[in-house]
Amino acid sequence: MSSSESDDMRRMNRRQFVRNAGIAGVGLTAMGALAACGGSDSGSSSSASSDTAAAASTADVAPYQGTLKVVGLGVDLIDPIKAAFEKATPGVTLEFTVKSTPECTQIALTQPDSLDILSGYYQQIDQVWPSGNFMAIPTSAMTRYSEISPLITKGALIEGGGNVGQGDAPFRKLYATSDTEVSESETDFITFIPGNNNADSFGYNVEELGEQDSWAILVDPQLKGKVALIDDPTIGLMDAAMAVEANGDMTFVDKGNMTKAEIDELMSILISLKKAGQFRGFWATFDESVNFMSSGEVLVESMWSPAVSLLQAQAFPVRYAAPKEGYRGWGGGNMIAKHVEKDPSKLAAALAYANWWNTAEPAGIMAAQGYYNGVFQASVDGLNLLNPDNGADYVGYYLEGAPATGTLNDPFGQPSIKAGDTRDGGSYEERCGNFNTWNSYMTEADYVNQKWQEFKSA
Amino acid sequence: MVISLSSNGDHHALDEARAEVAEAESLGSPEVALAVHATSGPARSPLATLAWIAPGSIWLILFLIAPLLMIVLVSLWQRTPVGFEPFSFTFEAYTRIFDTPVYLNTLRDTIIRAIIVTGLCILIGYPIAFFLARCVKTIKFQIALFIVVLAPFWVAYVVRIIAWLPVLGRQGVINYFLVDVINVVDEPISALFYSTFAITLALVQLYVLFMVTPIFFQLATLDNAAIEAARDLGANPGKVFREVIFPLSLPGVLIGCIFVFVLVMGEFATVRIIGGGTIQSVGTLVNDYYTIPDLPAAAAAATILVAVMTVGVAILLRFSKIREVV
Repeated sequence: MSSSESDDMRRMNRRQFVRNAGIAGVGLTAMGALAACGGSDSGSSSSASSDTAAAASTADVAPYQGTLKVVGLGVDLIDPIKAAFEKATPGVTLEFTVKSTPECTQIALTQPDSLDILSGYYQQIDQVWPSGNFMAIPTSAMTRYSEISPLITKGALIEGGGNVGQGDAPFRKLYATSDTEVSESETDFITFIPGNNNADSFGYNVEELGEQDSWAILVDPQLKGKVALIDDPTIGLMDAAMAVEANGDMTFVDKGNMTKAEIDELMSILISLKKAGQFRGFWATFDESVNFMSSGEVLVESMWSPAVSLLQAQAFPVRYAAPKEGYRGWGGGNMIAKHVEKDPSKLAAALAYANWWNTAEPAGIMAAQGYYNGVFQASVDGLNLLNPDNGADYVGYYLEGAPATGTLNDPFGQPSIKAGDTRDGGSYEERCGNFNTWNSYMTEADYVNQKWQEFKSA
Repeated sequence: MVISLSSNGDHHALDEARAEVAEAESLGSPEVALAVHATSGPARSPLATLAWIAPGSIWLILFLIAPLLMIVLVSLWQRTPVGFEPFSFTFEAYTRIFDTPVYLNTLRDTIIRAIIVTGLCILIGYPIAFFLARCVKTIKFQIALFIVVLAPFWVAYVVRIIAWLPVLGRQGVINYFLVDVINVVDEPISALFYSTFAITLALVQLYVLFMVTPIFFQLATLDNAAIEAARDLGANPGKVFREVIFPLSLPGVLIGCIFVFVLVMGEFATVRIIGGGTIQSVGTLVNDYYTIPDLPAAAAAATILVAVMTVGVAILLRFSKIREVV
């Protein structure tokens, strides 16, 4: 296909999209009512969606009746989320397919028609976006666009403040200029509607190790055979790089996009560590990481916040470190598959689903597992909504860094946090103001994959 | 099967049939001879033959030959970010997987693992099969015990795999015994789990049945006349086993070897879970290439695996001359 042809095609798709998105706007206004339970559906965002709706004057679309196929991780595609959305949106059934991040990427690239929505992450954008399998979403189609945290749109909560972090930070991957190109500065289109984000670190057994605050512990020879990493180079390699750097073994120009020489040096360090028996395992799924820790096989590992909160609910002595070198950031949201564009009602439903994530209920469910919503207010409202009696205590613990005054439950009703506990790392501003690196897909990704295989089989 | 299991009576029946054939032939009565031969292979019309082979052939073509051809083709196509470019022939996928020693080393390890597991399955499976087939006297009891042997198959594959953690883990039963009960070691032994040892153990446990079953059936259908003849000629039990029973049971052993070898060569889930991600097999490598995604490399890795497995099975068959024994 010649470039002019493809340009024409893109323009046409864009026009078609604006029309369809306008139609979707109608659906969105209906969703606005649902979002209002968050209590802060701002005037500006609803006017944005009515603008889009106005653009398509003939817009009149039957509400979608059917299934939305969502592919993503087991941490956010959970039953309470499915139940809450289906209750809020009669007629739409969610079909969740839970996979590891690399498997999600693989499906998004090679079988794009098998899904409607990808619960995607910023580090997947460089690999997934050029395929053109997903559509650029106009910022006007995001209900609460004006309320997204500046962390997501600009890289820092306070302009110029805190450590932005290297690699695929949200503000570098959020905006799109077309269905195949990403922009590092603000445009009228986004690659996905931001959902959750967090500042991740490593989980450790505090009973065995005492308080820990440096990534270097992952490569500490004293913990030989008691360390695990996540088996995904876009995440696990970042953890390893921060550990090696913190240990003073090597330095990087940009850990989010290493040079071949840096990859070689890092990998030779990691391979000799593995040969010496440093790593007990590489986990692929959330459950595996929980088992590694709870069975006592590892004392410290790459970990996700919900895994930590699950173990804490079982009174297991696990802590989520607040590393002095900074956190490994990540963020995600909902990408809409290109083929959904063809069906205006389905597109409306898909946008409604993606926007629903920025409402109180899902944001609250995830906040009680340590996640932040891209629209921070949704996390606050969610914790208050789901805990009518002691919402302020939840907000204090999870978002403001205050000690819990009573026992706090996880979203599944299990007591998870004891009175007097303070969240590791403190408030949203403290934790999300100190990023070292974000989960990243590098320019040399093929080389990274090759080396990662060498590392795993060393 | 049931008839042949009742070992004592049936060789008389067989002898009678043979005698009948011999008698019929010697008498020169073609009708009788034909009638006897007919039980082992009636003449059919070509159409009927076609009808008989059609289901199997269609099944094989659709679910074995076609996918295999597809895999070979994809391994020869160019990789693209979203999969492959059909009909853009190149050997790049093969050069890519041999770019580093990872594939070759993993293939070597996989072959060694398959040979070790197959060997252990013979050592463990043969006595079980022998006991079931030759030592248990009544059919009822034989079948009951055989079902007990099959019992692990009733438990889901994944459950059978993860059940090893509480046994072999750092806080598992064995380490608890070694550290806290008899105090022979200070620290729990890590090498029991997420290790080559654990993988070998789990694979033997999973696949030993594929060895027991064919050996059991082979031993159960042995012609007792041969054993009695050896005894009559003064052979002691050891000699009877070495010179009569074992050689006659070889076809069963070989079929078991083929099953276990092929299954272990293709293994990836057990290696992934029991190995904790730190040990690779060709199967886990194929899965890695598939997820990257580098579909041509995954196809190339799989093609080589199939080729190696075919060679392995061919060696087994040739080495043993299975057809002649049967």
